[in-house]
Amino acid sequence: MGNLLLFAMDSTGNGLMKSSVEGLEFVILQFLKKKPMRGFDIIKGIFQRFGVFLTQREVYPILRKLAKEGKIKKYKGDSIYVYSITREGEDCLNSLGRLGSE
Amino acid sequence: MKVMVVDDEVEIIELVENMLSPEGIKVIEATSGKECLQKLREERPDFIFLDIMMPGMDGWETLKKIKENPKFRDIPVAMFTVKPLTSKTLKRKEIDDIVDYVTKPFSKEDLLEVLRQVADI
Repeated sequence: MGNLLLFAMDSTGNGLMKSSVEGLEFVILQFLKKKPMRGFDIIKGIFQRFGVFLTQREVYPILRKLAKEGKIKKYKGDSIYVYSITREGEDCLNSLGRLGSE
Repeated sequence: MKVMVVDDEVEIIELVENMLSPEGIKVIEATSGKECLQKLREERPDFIFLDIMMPGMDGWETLKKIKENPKFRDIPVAMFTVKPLTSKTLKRKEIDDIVDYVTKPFSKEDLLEVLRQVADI
């Protein structure tokens, strides 16, 4: 999970999140800003982008947390939940990005 | 909820059953790809955990046959594997047909996290 700090740095160019969880939240929100995704698509996306294979237990609880906080919402796709970013999530992403560039 | 577990190692199936039964999840056993396809015709599961490395018809081939059948195509499938995800695996066209990829050894919580992506449990 320590590598997730690098995720946040890489994503913002020069930013550094307070914790690895916050870094992963930032990365997930960035992915979802581009398009709605399934949980496994996010895991695949992180692997393709950063070369790190995170487990379901690392990623899915964060999806639940973000949904509980209203930053993302989930809906049923064909047979599986799909996640999309909310306005609140976009605001959060923007403020985290600003923090990263300060 | 009914979950089919397809693995040539009976111990793995028993392990999954011990993990999921207390949660009220029924486990349907299949020890080969062929048995999986036979049992699908008898009882439709809500989800399939499918081992990649199996003698005879392996997991990817079994997945292909599941997805070719319009009756079973919409059943979500997650692969069991001992190997972590690689770039080569991601290039397989079948990767888009699975909803998850679970590495062994796994815990009960790992399986529940995967199932929570399809149902509120």
